[in-house]
Amino acid sequence: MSQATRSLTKRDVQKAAFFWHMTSHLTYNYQRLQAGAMATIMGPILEKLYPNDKEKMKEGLQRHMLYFNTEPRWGAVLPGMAVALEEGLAKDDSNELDASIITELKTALMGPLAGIGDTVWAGLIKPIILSITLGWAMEGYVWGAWAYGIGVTILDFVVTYAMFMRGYKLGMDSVDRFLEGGFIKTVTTFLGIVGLFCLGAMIVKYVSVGAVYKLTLSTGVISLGTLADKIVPKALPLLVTLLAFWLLSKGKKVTFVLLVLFVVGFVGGALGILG
Amino acid sequence: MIQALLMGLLALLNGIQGPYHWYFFREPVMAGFWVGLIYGAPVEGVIIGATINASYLGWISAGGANASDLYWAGLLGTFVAIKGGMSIETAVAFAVPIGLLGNYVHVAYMTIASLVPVKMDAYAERGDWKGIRRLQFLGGPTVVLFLRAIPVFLIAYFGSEYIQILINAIPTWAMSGLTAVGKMLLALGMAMLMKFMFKKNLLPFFVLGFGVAAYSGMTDLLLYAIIGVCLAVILIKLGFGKDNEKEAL
Repeated sequence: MSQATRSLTKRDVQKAAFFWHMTSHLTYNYQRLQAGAMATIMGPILEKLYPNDKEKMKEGLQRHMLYFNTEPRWGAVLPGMAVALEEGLAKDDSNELDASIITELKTALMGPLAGIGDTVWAGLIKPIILSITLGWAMEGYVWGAWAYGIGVTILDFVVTYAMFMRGYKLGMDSVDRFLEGGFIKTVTTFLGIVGLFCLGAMIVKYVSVGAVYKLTLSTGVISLGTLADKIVPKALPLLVTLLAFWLLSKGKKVTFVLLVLFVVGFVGGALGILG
Repeated sequence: MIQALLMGLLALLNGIQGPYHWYFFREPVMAGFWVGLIYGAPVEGVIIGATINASYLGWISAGGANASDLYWAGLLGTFVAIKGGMSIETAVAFAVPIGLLGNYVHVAYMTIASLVPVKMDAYAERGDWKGIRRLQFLGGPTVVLFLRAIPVFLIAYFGSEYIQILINAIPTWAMSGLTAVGKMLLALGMAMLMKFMFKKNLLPFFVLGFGVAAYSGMTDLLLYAIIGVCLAVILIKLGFGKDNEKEAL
């Protein structure tokens, strides 16, 4: 078979990127996580690369049914690369390439990319957009909710698509070059500055717990809340947040911190100290 | 009946795993909108959903392990709040046990869906890629239908009249306790986020944001986003990120 028929068109790769975007988590599960999605996008690719070759199709599908899990957006660079590697493998008539390199590369890189992707997407981009739009929504503007939904959906698609196509282009070059470029590092620093700056203001905006305890003295009534606000405004919200942050960075589970806050708040509120 | 059916449908859309479902149905602010729409109070729903949402700002599902269930905290949290006519703070406190309960549903989902790859392997053995694709499209959503959509339908159909009775039975001191919890829990969202972003050398930006907001009282976050972007652009141009690397070494 000539090499020309074994080439993928840009459309094939675009279609795979779109399928990845749509199906990466549709049947997410503990056993294989995103393997089903990987095999799903590879089906049409393998069909194109090995028309009517049942044996190759079987090998390929089994290769991609192996455990796979990464961050679906920034991590889309990996399925993109895998598509390129499959194409390289199919074109390699000298049989120098070993199919196991695809699995090795996926396994080696899915962890680091998941870490980077989660930090950048779930830890930085999504919360920043969310915190701005939630402010509108809390004031009763319905479009605030929709601004979030539409905005994040577009961003999700753009990032996923761009990363997938970039991964395809990187192909055999390996993902190191992509990471060495310092691109992710700059993005992380950039969003870290914006994120922490906004976070400081968000505590003031959203965490509204205050001290409502009133001391009755012979000279009059002293409100503890007003007193505290004179020293540092919004000190209590800051302290509660830092307490939760401290517990989390001590490695406590979120559920544990949740219960601590629940108990402290409930007791404080029931006794009329917090409100 | 129709409202309960719509709630069931909403729970299905809310539970399916995909970008459109995540952003338009799962996120509590949007779930709140839909629940509000079903019960004729979309604005109220958005406000309640947004407040519950703020407690989950740093929410993340790494490898399918959840802290608390975002899906039901927003959906059923708003439902209970609207049907029980409770204050927003109390609604946030109520969303906590619902979220913890929903977490078991998520674990059950991930476990049951683990049966699907067994069948997929069989398809792979035969080289049937269309079979794998069909399972990938239908497997997860079918599990969601049974684990999330049907229970929510039943809760909405049978439960709504009991919610009001339940809320009325709660004593005043417990209500003020729950209200305080509702105000406290938002700190968890901030803390989870902070754990992600925090780096020692970025601490001044956090203090700056808090200080400006606390003393000036200006809390429009778009303002902070704009200033933050400008700060970041300027500092990175001046080589801020590169200095870090040297320090780290």
